[in-house]
Amino acid sequence: MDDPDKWFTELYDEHHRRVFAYALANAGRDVAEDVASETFLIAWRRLDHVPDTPLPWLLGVARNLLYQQRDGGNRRRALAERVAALTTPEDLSVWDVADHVIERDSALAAIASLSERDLEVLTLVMWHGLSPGDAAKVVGCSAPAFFVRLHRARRRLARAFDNAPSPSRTRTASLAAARTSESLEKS
Amino acid sequence: MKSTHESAFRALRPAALDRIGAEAHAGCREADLAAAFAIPRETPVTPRRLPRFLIAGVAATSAVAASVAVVAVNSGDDHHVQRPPATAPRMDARTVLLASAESAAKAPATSGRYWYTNERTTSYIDESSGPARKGGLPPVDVKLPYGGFVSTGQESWTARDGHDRSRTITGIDVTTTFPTKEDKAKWKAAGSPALDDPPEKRSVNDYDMPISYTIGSKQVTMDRLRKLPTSAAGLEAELRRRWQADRTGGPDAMTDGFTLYVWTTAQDLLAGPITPGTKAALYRVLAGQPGIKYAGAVKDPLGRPGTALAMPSPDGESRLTVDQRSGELLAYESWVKGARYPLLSDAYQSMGWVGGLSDRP
Repeated sequence: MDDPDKWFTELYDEHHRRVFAYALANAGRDVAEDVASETFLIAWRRLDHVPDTPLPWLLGVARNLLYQQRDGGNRRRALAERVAALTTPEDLSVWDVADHVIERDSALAAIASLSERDLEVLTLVMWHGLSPGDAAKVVGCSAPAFFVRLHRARRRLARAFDNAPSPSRTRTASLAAARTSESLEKS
Repeated sequence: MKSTHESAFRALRPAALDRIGAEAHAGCREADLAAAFAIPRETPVTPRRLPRFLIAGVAATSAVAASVAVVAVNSGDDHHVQRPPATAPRMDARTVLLASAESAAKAPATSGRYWYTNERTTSYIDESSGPARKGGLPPVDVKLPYGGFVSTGQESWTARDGHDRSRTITGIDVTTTFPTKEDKAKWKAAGSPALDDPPEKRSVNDYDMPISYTIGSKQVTMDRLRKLPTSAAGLEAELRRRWQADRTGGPDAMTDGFTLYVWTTAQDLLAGPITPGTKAALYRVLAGQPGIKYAGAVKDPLGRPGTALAMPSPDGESRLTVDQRSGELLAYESWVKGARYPLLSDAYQSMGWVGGLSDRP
């Protein structure tokens, strides 16, 4: 690192959007901007501590800042609430052209039933693009432990979606179908 | 049917996160950089750049929600895998993978209306989420005074034709067992709380929509999956192309190395409806990757003999247990360093093509 200013500027340009997007998924825009700015200020002060793969470290710092914000009276917004606040007509039309297992409104209602812990695990991997190993660093657990959390969160997500009404799926089968599969299982 | 639920969850991500992100970057950049450069750093700069370790977190899990089983599974105390011997025999991962490729290539190229899988998943649970901490710090997990296994079965029928209905049966024969009598006694003393919260119930789920699989972070149709290259060189080129696209694919680009990408893909696809040629090629691509370890002759969670291969990470490893004689993937496991049992295991009891929903091979 011959030139810390240059190195930091590159770090900022490469990762600010993702740190901000992570914060914005959890808090309002003003808080998200503050959290992103503070995260990079901490990174500058502790440049020697920033690992070679910096994103998990940066998101871990941002995560702590978000929790502290919440402690100060800014309740961390529920994910479904954040999605609703950020939804644009573009999101709705993109959703509509895809063939999804569930209606969008039902999906939002379903994720509101999941724990914050499950949603954190799911969003780190599926929204913020982290591998389970990197996401484990964000939440401060081992990679195998995170993998198990992810596995369980996925199952609960599937259950929540399967239990929601949706026209593209046939609900837990008619009694006849259920009987058929049961009798087959016994055979 | 992971990819189905996941693609819906991914699609909930508001596009505004990126749009406002670009605005915020442009709007805050000058002030943020100036604020940083105005204050001293905490410590002098020293040379760093440590080699990056591979993380074996493994994204995967089967693309289809797994499946499982009909046959009664031993739910006693020995349903976890035996640990490999401490002394490594003279086998190596490459030899095992090449032998598996040979066997996989000999399998007949069959097809059918539904790809059926039947799997049993077991989690070892010995911690739970702790209370909120002082100072606004995020909660951390606390160790329980006992550990226990929660095991559940799943079957799935994934239609080859996207116009056909697909089906899963989840929550089959959910069991809670304990590795020792002491664990069970401590669990009872704690009031016999559910280890899986909320407990899973049996559910039949039908999907009147095409079901896709995942390679890296992308969705792939079954038709596309069936047309993957059947030569090792061709498949490696295809996987490298996809890996590069995932790494540079915009705001949610992934950072996995290629070996981990191939490993994760193998974990998904070896239990999927790929052709025997693609399966053999996948084993050969894996055989060419550095860092995959031979972990010994083992019995899988269903008691079947196999060979374990491991992808180590700093805090544990993930393992694939294969049957070299058939080229079949038997099980996947996730281990923490020094643990007595895998934190998670997924055993494929059976898989193959069937002609009707609820048919089994």
